[in-house]
Amino acid sequence: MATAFKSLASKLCGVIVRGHLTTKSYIPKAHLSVYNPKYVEPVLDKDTLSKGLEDDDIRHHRPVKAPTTDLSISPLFYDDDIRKFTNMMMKGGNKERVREITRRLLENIKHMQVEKYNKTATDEEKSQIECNPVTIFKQAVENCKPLLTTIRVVKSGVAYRVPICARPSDQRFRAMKWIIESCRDKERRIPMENKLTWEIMDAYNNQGKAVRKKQEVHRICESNRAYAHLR
Amino acid sequence: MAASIGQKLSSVASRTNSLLKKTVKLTEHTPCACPYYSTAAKRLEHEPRIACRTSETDPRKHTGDHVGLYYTVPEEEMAVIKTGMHPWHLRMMKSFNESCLMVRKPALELKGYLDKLNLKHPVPRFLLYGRRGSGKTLTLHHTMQCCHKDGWIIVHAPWAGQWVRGWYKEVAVSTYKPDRYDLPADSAEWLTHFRAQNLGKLSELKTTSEYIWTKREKAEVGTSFEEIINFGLSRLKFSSDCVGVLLKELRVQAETQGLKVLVVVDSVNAFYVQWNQQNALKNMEKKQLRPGEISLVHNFKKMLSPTWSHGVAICAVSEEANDEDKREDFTPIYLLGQEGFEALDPFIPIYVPDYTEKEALSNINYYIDRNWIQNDYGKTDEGKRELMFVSNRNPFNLAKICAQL
Repeated sequence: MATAFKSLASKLCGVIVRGHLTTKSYIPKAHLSVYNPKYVEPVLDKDTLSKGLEDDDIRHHRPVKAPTTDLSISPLFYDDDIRKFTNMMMKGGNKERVREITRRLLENIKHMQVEKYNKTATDEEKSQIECNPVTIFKQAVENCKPLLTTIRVVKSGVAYRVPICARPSDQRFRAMKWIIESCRDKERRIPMENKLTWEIMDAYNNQGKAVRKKQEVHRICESNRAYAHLR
Repeated sequence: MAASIGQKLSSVASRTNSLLKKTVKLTEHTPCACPYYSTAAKRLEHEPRIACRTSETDPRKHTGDHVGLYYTVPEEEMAVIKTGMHPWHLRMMKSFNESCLMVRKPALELKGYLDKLNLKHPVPRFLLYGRRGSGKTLTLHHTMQCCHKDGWIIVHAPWAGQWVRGWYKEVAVSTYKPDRYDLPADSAEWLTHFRAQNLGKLSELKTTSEYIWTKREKAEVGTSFEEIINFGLSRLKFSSDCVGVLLKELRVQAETQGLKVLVVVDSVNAFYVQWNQQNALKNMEKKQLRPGEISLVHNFKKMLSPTWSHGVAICAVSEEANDEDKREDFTPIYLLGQEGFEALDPFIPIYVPDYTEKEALSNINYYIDRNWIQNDYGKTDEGKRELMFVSNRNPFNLAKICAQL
């Protein structure tokens, strides 16, 4: 009896697991949340906070979600792209090191631009120089983002590289990865922050290795456009 | 009993409430008769260039009203302090396209002492101390610039720790005394630094006794300092001896001819505390050298002893010159150790504090003026207050944090 039950149970489990793996079920985003739907959104605005809640406000009786890092942290020290870039550069969990590299990278960029800014005489020329290192960094990443990428599709024993539209998260990942990789290829004895500074200033002006990498990917997609229907 | 506790509690509560409710306004400079500009934060948008600066470029004329304001160091005086400055600072100055220093209180205090000094007494010693990055070195630079304008001869050791450490540094047995060791490269570097700082004054100074280098080479009585420096730079073997000769002549001539000599030593504790790290200097038998055995240090120690007059010695202690396990405190007695403290005692200690709120605000405004702080939130009043809080108003911390904004 017991053995029969066990075998039945294992069979059933196998069916359930297989079913989960094979069917691509659509799950609404709200169902992925770790919070019970009763939880309410937190208040982050300082002015609203200082006013306090009214007596009949429902939030008195409801639990509140914890604010996410990017919302609760000071805008002085946080930027989502910078955080992503730092984490992608990290090796072996040595975050302190990469944060220092990022800090110096921003400092280097600023030194280059501010020096130009302070040396120009006229206001008109000054207004054309972008000094904000974060803006420069973002523009550089933007310039490296590929519009199309390829995926590998096997049809009747032949693998095709099929061009598809790149998702925004994928675009960002590729752009940052190419910037970092192109710096790792360079001379080892030069500090990483210096190599990154050159690369990012190049990418900002639509030059450099990372931008060329993007163009190469675009070229492959262009040549494989005949396979586009295979996706 | 219970009532008193209740009262106390209520008073505490009221105080905390008042603190919470109080909207702290950032203090501004009050206008005064001296020609300088106010650093009112609200005026920043209209006149960003003139905030936080003073037009008084002569450091001798700085008074308490100028505390916290930036003054421009003229190009010809920049040559005096440039060689001893940290590259990090020079890079900032290059980017800002001007060389500005802040007037701080310890520098004014030091200048006040120097003005009222009786030079006929044995050399007085001043000792600057303070937390890491609180501005001890720049205070020394400010004072040096003052004295340079007054026509003092400046003997400056930019970073004494360099003389007791170094990877693969050449160490030679002294030609003067066999149990001492020379550092030819460091001595030559110091000679060029000395020449750059006292440009135009050295050719008039002549030696008062004869110095024999080798059997064939010697310096006659009346050789100018310029020639001795040139000799030291061309014959590196004797560069340490040249330093010794120059310092001895300065001591002698200060007393006899009334020269005014300013001795400035940064991180003086390197002279008295043993450096035990991997890059400590060793002799040919791989034995670690004591600081006293190095001829440069030995000669500079003599400048700090009160055996001569018509001079002033200004030193600064720094934590970086000590071993890593001896950096717990920043007070002179801890950093110098027993030996150093006894050697320098009695000295006048001068505490270099971190920024006050006014100074920190002035620094941040200066950065905004030079387009260094780019973050929009950092330019607001609230952002400035946050910067001050995060850096704990320590000048170096503040600069480091502002570097990435």
